Amino acid sequence: MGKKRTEKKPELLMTRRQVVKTAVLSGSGILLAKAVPVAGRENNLSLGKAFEPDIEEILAAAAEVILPGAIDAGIPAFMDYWLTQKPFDNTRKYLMVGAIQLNNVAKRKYKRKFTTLKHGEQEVILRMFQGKKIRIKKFDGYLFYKQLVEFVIEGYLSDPKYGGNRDRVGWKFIGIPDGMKSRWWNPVGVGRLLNPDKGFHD
Amino acid sequence: MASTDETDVVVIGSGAGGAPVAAILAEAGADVVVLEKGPYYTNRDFLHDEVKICRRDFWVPYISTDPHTIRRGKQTRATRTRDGWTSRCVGGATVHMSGFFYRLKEQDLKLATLTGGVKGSDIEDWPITIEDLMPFYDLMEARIGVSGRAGINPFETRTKPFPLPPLQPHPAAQSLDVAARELKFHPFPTPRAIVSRPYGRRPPCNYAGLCGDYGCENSSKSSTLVTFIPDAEATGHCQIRSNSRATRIITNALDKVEGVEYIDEHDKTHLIKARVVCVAASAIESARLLLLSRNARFPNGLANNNGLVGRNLTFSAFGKGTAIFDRADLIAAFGKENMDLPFMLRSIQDDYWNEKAGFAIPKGGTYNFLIHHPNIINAAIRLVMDSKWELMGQALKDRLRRYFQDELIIEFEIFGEHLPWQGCYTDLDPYIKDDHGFPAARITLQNHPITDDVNRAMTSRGLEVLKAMKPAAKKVYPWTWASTTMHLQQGTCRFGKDPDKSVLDPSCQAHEVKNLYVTDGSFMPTSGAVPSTPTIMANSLRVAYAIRERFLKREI
Repeated sequence: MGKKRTEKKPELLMTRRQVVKTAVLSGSGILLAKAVPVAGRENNLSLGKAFEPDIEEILAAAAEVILPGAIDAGIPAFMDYWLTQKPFDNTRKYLMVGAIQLNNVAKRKYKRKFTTLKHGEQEVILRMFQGKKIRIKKFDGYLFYKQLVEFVIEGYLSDPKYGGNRDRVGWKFIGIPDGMKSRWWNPVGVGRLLNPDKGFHD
Repeated sequence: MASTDETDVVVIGSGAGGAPVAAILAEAGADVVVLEKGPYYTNRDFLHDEVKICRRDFWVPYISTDPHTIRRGKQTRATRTRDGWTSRCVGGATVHMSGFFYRLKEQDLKLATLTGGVKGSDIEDWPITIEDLMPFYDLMEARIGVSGRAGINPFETRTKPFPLPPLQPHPAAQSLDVAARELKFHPFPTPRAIVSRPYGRRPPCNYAGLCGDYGCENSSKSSTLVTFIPDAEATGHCQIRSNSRATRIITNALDKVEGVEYIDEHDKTHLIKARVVCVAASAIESARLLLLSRNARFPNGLANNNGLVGRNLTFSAFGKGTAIFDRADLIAAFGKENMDLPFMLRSIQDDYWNEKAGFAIPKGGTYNFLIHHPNIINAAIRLVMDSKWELMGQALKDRLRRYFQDELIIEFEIFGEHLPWQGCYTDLDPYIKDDHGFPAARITLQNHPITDDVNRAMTSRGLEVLKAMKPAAKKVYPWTWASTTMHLQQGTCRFGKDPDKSVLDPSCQAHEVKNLYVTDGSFMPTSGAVPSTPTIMANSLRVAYAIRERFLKREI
């Protein structure tokens, strides 16, 4: 908690060198290219602190396939909020490698970048990760997919203060407009002393 | 060393095991310092923010800073995990517990005798009887406030009524009662460490339903944070040092405790001298602390010359069955008014000790019926998991909406006996350290085959109850047959009369180190088939009164 010590390398952690190596080996130049502002980048994408813009766009596109409306709901901003924090460094790197692999698989299968594919084609690629078909050295595509889905769902249904669930869009969609607060204001409970004997039948 | 000071008693940990000792001894006039590794939260910190409270490091540290490690057998290398942590904050895991407060039964304390031994298991009878614990269960319930109703469960261990009447259950509990009785079970209202009426200065439950995994912003949950801790502080004799992580217990040449070294939030190391040290950091972390405190006279770890510290680790055996109901069916049967009540409040203990059930051993456990926890992110991710991660796109969104709009999940969890054996223990990880350079606690976990057998059998019996409910569920399925609840943990410093076969004596003082007590779940030679929290609290009171006696007689 707030320790300033440098951390020991956690197990899943790939060093930057390894990440670059993986990227080079799998024929991707993404990490080596400089971050160039991408034309038509929407406001919904976050400031790009956790990821290079290219990576972030891939993840945003994947999130949109997993859960339509993800970008409008601010899920990239939610991911950015958490993934820029130090304890998430591992996860951030894993997701980054995952994004590169999404792109690689897209190029192999459709000869195009993941972000330029049609929605249905993107789903085909993601299904390969979800179906445990992608495993490259230390990278497990299924694990990546599960991590991404968790972030997408968290971002869709969390308290809006972390950037996701913008305008409570997730809560409204599932029909709990106040999310957890609806339990806080639950009219059944608050301010009313219930008869505790009611409802028990001998 | 940044500083050295002195007190009568140091208590390490402020949860179910530590706080009662602190309160009783401070009330007797002893100067007590409680070292708590985590922060001192107040009700204002207990937000209904699922991401922050349940899915980050609010209770349990991240694995990158302060991990446990786990492996499924001796041959494999352990990997980092958050499993086996209970909590780190003032009040410990009692702050975020659900508070199912069943007592142990007579059979739990003499399992070895009653079963004649179980092959491959190291079960031992307890050195005390249930009668020794009874007055302390009563005292514990009265001090913290436990709600329930006596006289309905034919298998209960009590002679007195509960201090508080039960909470109001969800209307579907009526249906469960009928179904269970048809199957010759005896359902009863689940005792809860939640106050159903005003209790002292604490208001009654507001039925927000965010108990497990959350802190109660209403002070209605009977955690030590709102009971024993403020009681201890009110005496003026107790100081809570939060963010203070004990790293070593010091003993002298006569094998008597001298004090405790700890690190504060600024990474400064301090020594506090004490005449009595009481360790209550959870069964796994207490064992780790003793192992880390090795010295010339205890080269294998403090009080560990017989090699038993960390052995005989038990958790709670777990099984779970789920029933998906149509909300509309339930509304048609019971009306709309109380459909959002969060508690099912029904339990069954007919299989707790049942020679006719045909289990591998007669010792089964407790069925605890629940309305599914209101957490929405957890529920959504669970839906995806249940589909083997196949749900995607519009289908995922539609499924989410249908779940939250149209469905109500009622389920049961099993608390089962987790037999101690050589396949389950904790020691220091030889490779992985925490952010201060101390070896992490490594957990080696395999369930004894009979533990799993009994749980599978119990899970299928529980499913019969769910299937018999009317209106009928759309779908009833086993969520897991046989698993382990790792935040309920016991056994790593078991107590007993024989110093060769136990770490602690019957008063929970170490056989080998004078004035060193361990009062969390570590002392329990067998797990029992209920959550151990109330038993830890009651035993902690029992030990506290024994220390108090010694203190008042000036033996300490």
